[in-house]
Order: sequence, then structure tokens, then C-alpha cells
Amino acid sequence: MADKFDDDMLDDLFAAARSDSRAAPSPDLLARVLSEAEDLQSAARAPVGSPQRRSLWAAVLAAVGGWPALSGVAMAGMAGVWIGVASGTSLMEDTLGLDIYGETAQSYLSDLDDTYAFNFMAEE
Amino acid sequence: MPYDQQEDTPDDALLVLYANGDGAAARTLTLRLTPRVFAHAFRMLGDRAEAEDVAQEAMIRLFKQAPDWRQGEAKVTTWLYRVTANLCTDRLRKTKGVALDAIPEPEDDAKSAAQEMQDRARADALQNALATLPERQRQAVVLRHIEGQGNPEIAEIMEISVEAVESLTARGKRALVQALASQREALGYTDG
Repeated sequence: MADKFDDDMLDDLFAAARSDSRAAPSPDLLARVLSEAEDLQSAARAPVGSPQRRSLWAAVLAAVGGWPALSGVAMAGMAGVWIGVASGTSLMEDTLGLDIYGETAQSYLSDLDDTYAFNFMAEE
Repeated sequence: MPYDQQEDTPDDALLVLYANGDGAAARTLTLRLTPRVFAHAFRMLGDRAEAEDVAQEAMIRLFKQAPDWRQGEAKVTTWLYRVTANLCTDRLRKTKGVALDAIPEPEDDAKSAAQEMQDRARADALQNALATLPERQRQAVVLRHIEGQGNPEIAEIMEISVEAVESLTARGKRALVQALASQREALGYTDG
């Protein structure tokens, strides 16, 4: 019987606790929470900082990987020129090789215009 | 979605709406969940001011979690009760004791003054008795017997087995009976 009495008493006390108006939040708390919710919501939707404007050169530089990549490109270009020059006319016998060696630039110009070739011959 | 159409929307769906910028969802979540969080914190701490701080912090954490919330993985209330309980534990470790003096006077015109006084005395007595329980027992008893949660959900909230929940609530109730033994008659309970 004591257990039943105790259980009934506790059930009654639990019910009193459930209906206790002091366990209800104040309107002020609800307003504060709602205000926080709205602030967080608008902060989450706002863009994070303004996007930085970049020049075309900066964009190209970034696209190829920045300054380190650019120095690599420059080195490769220099190496290409050196290989071409060092190998003589075998690799560049038509145009650029001849220009660099300065051997028969005139014949190159004559390819464009026969009269130019003629005049050149006449001057000689 | 307008506020009055969200009454039946599940909590996790409301969180997704909130994360997508729905203002009405912010309002519905606040009005639906803050009372539960506050009541739990109040029953754990016995102090309205402390409970308000905890409730506000728990709700802020929920709103911050909204963009990353995975629907269907956990119940929102389970997550929220767990966060609230952890915040209460932190507070209890800092400030030992329960300040019932901080509770303001209730206002309820529907009850007679005598009934109101008795109910308040009973609620206070229970709150004082709850404060004497070990924290985990108190949490289990509050969740089960005052907030009406089922044992499986309490097990999830407290991250223990259902058997452990049953053990905690049984021991908690026995301890409450002992703590209230000397006040039975004063509270209007007479055996036989």
C-alpha cells in the first residue's frame, strides 16, 4: 500500500510541476530567441565580404599558377630558343634559323616579292 | 510558407526551411521549441534566470546547426534536450545549489487562491526534492515523468541503454519519496 501511496503522491506532484506556470518561458525570452534566430538567418544569407576585383593580368597569372609557374614558362621558352639556335639550320632551315644566322636574308625576302630580289641583285 | 501553415510541419523540415531563409520557420521553431527547452532547463536548474540563459544558448546552437542538419538522422528534440542537459550540467558544476527564491509569483486566475498555493507548494517541494538527486537521476526523472518522454528517446538523449534509463528513473523516484517523506502531511497527502 505504501508503494501505491507513494506512486500516487509522486504522480500528483509531477502533474503539479507540469502545470506550474513558472516553467513557461517569458515573452521577453521568446522575443530574444526570435531576434537571435532572425539575426543568424540574415547573417547566413549575406555574402561573406565583397568579391575583389582583379585585373586581366592578375587573372591570367592566377590561371597559369602564379609567378612560379610563369618563371617555368619563361625558362621553357629560353630553352626552346637555345635548342633551336644550337642545332643550327637543321631545325630552322626555312625562316627563323636563317634570320638568326643572317646568312641569306635576302633570299627570304625574295620569296615574297620577285622584284625585290631583282633589285637586290641589281644593287650588287 | 506562412506561419499558420507550419503548425503541422515536422521540426526537421522547419529547420531546412529556416536554413533556406524562411522567416516564418524561425518564428515557428522559436515558439514551438523554446518552451520545452526552457522548462527542461528550469526543472534541472530551479532558477528562471539561469534557465533563460541556457534556453537561449541552446536555441542559438540549434539555429546555427540548421544549415548542416541532416534530415532523418536524429530527432530535433532529442538533439536539443541533449544540448540543454549539457549546458545545465556546466551551470550546475559552476554554481552548486538551487535558488527557488528566484522564482517569481505565478499568475493564474482560473484556480482558487488556496488551490494555487497548494499547487505551488507541491511544485516547490518537488523541485527541492529533485535538487537533492544526482544529476543523471534528476534528468531521467524529469524527462520521463514531467516532460513525458519515452524511455527509448531518453536513452538516446542521455546516450545510455533503455535498461539504464529504467534503473535511473526507479532509483530517482525512490529517492524523491525519501526526500519528501517529512513533508507529506504539509503537502496534503495523508496515508489512509
